[in-house]
Amino acid sequence: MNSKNLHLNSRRFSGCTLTGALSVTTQVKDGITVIHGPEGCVHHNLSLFHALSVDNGSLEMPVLSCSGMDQERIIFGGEDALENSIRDAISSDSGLKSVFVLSTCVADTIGDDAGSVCSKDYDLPVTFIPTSGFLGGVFQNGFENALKNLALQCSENVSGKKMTVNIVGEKNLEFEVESNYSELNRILELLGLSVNIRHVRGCKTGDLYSVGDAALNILRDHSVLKVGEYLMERYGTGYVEGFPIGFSGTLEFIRKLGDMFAMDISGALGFEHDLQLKIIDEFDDICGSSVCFIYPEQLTIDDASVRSVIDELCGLFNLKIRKDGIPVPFPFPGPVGSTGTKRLLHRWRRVLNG
Amino acid sequence: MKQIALYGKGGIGKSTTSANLSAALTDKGLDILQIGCDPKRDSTRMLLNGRWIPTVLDTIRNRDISDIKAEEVVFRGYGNVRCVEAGGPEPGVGCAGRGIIATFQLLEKLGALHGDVIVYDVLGDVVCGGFAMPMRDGYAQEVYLVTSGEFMSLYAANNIAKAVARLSRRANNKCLLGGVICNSANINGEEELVREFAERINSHMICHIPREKIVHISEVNKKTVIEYAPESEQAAVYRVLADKIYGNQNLGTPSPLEMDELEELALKFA
Repeated sequence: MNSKNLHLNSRRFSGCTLTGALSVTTQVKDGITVIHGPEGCVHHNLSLFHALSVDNGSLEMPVLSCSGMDQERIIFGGEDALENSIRDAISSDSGLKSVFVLSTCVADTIGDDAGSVCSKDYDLPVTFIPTSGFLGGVFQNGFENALKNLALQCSENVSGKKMTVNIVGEKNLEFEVESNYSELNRILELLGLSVNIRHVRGCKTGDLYSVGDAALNILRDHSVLKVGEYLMERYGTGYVEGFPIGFSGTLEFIRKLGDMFAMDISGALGFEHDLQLKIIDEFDDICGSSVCFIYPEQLTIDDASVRSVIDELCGLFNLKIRKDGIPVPFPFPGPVGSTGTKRLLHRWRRVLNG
Repeated sequence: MKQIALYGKGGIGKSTTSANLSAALTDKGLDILQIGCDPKRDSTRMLLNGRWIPTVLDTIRNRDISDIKAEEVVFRGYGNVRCVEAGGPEPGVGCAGRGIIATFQLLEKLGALHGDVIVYDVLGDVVCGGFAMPMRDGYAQEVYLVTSGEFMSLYAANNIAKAVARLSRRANNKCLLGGVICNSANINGEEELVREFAERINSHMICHIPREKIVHISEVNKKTVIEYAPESEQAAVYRVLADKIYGNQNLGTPSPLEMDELEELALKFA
């Protein structure tokens, strides 16, 4: 039997460095990403990103260009084609503020030095992000490299820290990315904090220059821990390792931020606790239900925060996990904040009372 | 149609041997096509009296392949030998191996791969799948290893034998080892060494080509030995080589040596 056909085959989850980096660079709204590779790589990613943005209610197309590696460029080298593509991209739109260059497996297999092409003189900043398709690793490597390289736009000499936070490593291809951000922002406002930049989502080139200004980085989750470490090393900015997950996770998150900013959080904590009690009250009709979880095992096996959400909600609503229980969606990724948990409970209720 | 490929270490004399082989074969009244599969593009130069012909890859660059005619890449040389040079990218950029594949695709499309004998003169070593192309997909059916008695030359020949052996495991393989050509570097015991090497890899030495001044003199006169000095003993050697290769039925799958076996063999004749 061919194991590649199995749903559990982990190779299905690895992805491509190019897509990982693109999920970051395409969020710089006055930038263009030039892919040094064949047109197929651009088409594939453009289709994927467009489909996902439509799914999230947006008709926005990612701004991509391509050096058009074909047989001739593979044989004779594609560095000239890349340089021409960068210059064409710069001259094509006067509103552009930056260019990001990503490489593909084909370009790196023949040894094209995209980094040195990017180091030439251009009218706009051109940032090379090592990707190299499969040669550079998997989706996560491309994602991390892009987050780190875009942070390099900011000078290391940060003048002073504001009472603000950066949101780092939002998963731009995630379904509830904006809802999660709104929830996080609501919690920050309870504490009197504001967002410096979202690194990197829906920002402009100029925003990237201020990534070092925030007093704290809030990482999307532990998968971007290396980026958090990198930013701490470069700018001396501490970090919180993940968004608040579940009810108790949200209260814990507030306490953590209170400690870090040495502020009185009693008001915020009280408000949030009351909100959670109201939500629990609102869903008392699901109490005592028998459930079983539908989940992709490989994705959740090590996610302790998600496990704790299950334990918490099963305890609060006296849910019984049984093989013959009503199938409900496994909370992955974990519900962000109290309102994220409320949305999850809505989904469960639809199934349980349906 | 007989399709043969000459492989060996860079600078060992593959192009000289190939050109003289093609010249000797055309003198027998055979229709010959020689294809240089090396970015150096000098395989057929002696057949063309020193002329540098446009390479296939230079020709297809910036051109629509469908517009290219066979006469733009195939040129007539000594005795009407049809000469082709694959060419390649500038040193240090691109992928020459892919260039060989593109060359073969174009020549096939142009219907240029015909004749009584096609001689493929291939870059020093099988550095990637592109340079193994002449051995694959039914192109060259016989590979000849050109080597001297120098250790690195034998090492390269042994590596090519490994490539032939690997390809022979494929179900549709048509390529076998035809033999080993000893192109002398004037080393003591060289002929015996190369003969034993050939036998140890389950093949045979098909010809010993002595190192003679006339080869160099012919080359500076931009001719093959067959053309410049047809009465010379060296020309006679190339004719023997041509006869042996044209009539060779002793083809087989090589069994390449391990490194320590190769070193032991070299030590024996040192």
